Amino acid sequence: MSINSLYHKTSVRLDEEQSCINLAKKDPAFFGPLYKEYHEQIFRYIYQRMDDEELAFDVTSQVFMKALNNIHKYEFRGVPFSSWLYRIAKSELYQAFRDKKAERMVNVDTINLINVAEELEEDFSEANKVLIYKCLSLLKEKDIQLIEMRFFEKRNFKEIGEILNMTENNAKVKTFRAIEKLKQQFANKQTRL
Amino acid sequence: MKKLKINLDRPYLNSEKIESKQNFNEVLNGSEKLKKPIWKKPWFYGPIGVASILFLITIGVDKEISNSNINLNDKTITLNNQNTLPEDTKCIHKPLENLEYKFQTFSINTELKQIIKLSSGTEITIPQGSLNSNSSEKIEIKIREFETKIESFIAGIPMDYKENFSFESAGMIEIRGTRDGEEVVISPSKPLKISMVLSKNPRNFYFWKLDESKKEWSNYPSKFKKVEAHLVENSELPTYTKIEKQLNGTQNLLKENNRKIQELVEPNLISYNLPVKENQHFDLDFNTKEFPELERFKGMEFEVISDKVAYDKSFTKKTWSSVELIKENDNYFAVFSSKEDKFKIAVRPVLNGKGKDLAELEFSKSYEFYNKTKNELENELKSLTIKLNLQQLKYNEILKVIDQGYMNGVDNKINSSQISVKENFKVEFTISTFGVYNCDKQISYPRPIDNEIIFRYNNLNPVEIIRAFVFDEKNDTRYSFGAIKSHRISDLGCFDEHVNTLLVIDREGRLGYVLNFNSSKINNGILKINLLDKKDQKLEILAKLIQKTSIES
Repeated sequence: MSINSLYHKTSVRLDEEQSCINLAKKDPAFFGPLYKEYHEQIFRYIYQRMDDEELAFDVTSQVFMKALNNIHKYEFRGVPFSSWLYRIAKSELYQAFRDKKAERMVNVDTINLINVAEELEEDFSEANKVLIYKCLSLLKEKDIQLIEMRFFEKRNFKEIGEILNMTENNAKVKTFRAIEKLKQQFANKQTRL
Repeated sequence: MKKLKINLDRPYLNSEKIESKQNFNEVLNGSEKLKKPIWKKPWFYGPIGVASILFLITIGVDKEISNSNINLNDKTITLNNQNTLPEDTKCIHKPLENLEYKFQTFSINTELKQIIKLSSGTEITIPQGSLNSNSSEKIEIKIREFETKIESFIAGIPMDYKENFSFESAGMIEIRGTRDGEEVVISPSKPLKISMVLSKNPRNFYFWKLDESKKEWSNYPSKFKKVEAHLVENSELPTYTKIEKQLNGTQNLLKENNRKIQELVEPNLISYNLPVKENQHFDLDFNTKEFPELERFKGMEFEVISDKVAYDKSFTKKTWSSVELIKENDNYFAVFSSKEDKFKIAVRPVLNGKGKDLAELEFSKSYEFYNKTKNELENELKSLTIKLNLQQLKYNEILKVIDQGYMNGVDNKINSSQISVKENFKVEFTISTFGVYNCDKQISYPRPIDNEIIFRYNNLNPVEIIRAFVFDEKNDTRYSFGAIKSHRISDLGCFDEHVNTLLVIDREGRLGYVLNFNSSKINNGILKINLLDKKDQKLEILAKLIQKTSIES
């Protein structure tokens, strides 16, 4: 499975980003480049988890407003700026679910289901596709979000850990366990058939 | 257990649509609204809040008590401010009286839609009736586009933003419309459309308009556009492939030149049957019937071939009873014989007398030709090597730009061979008022140099500098000191690790410069300045001064 390279940045780019953050701390007008840089990533993260496009744009704006208001608190301590934004996005997203403005939705492409089938060591037949689809819907939120990040958004474990505030190893172990649960569900469904 | 809703194969939302929804102003305004007033924050009621209020009250009391001190400080500020221009100076103020960055002027027929195309590729569309005028009245549109730091400097465009930033520009245009010298008004319902070619990737750049009354730049709505690859390929600008071809061509020329130099044969005396001075010569009688090929060497001599074999040079001092010329494998030998001894030595026939004079003339002509050709080839080799190095630099620069483009995810679809450095991006905007529009990035000012500086010309006369400009090649910007709303001369500074050129104007209006300016150029508080003659104060010379610095560095 290929991993999304968006996350990787050279040290030069990280330095540039840090100077941009420092400027934005003094003058909000300098937050613009960061907004431009991360707007699409954050929107896709939010829109991946809901179905209302307009609301996804609103929540994205809300994320950047919060980020701008709290930028003075951000300091680079190993967690990249993008992960900090994702944490705010996660919090805003779940707030939207709690306020019943939006409903939690998992958006999957067939190609992503192929990746999951490979992980389950199963053929990607039409029947298995339906089964995986059903099994995914039975997973708990904490498990589906790991599978979503790893297999649908193709994030590496380091980034998953940073977004979910856990270590890289922990993210790896928990994703493995989520896959195990999916396998279990899949096996159960197969036996019933 | 509640089932999660799963959506399969939802249509993909493209990046353009997401980008079109970006609205930074909304975020800026929204964030202001989100902020809680200070008295609603929890810390306000805690010990820190109480302590802060007490502190502020104390400062307030202090301020009133020490009013006299403030007056003293004010005096100091006034003194330092003497360097700056008066407040009523126009926003666009030429720093050098004798230099002007000229406008291009276009006469416009307002009854028709008109499109002005500039050589840079920038287009200005003037809709029909957007400039109110009777048909008899002639409207002139004056435009100047700024591509370099020197152009905006000469024009006197302020490039400062807020207190501590200067602008790095990716493209700037000034557009004016006049009728009989008076500025005309653009109809708000029919604004002019401008599509300006940018010299840089506008990532992290913003678009601004110069507010000439407030003497400051303000954000202006615009849309950045990537120029399609085929447009770039069709442009006259050097592209990656063109440079690559040029580079290969130069490399081939260099190879050819090297081959010619290696193949060039230096004429030698032997091939012209001329004697070599250092060798021994002697006459020898022989039968011309036996050696008919030697008949043409009239009045000839024989020369000992001594370059390969060591021999006893005293043989000419001995008495020989006979000397005989023999030929073995096309080589001649002289065989000296006496009763006791026999001596054989390799010889060659050499010209003497008239034949020798003619051959010498031919030889010197040939040698002259050889020298000339050799010099030409060597000079060509030098210039080709320089050309190759420059092309290599340009090539590397383009590769860097392409790499940067890929790294930033600009567009993976563009074929690298079709990317040109200059015409990759455009900015589109509409205007309802004439003025200066700019695509810029904010760059922090450098820290002032710690010590006080005394400026001196090379003849050691101290000089009073009223304005100073640091041109920073790395940041591609200009820092101004002593200009409107800008830093004072005493704040002069630069980034030492960058390539900088300092231009200064003294009280008498003379222009001076310091190449490769940095704090190490100040010795014991003295900065030596080179004076630039008034006749040399030209756009090209000033541009070269800055370019020279970057080349030398």
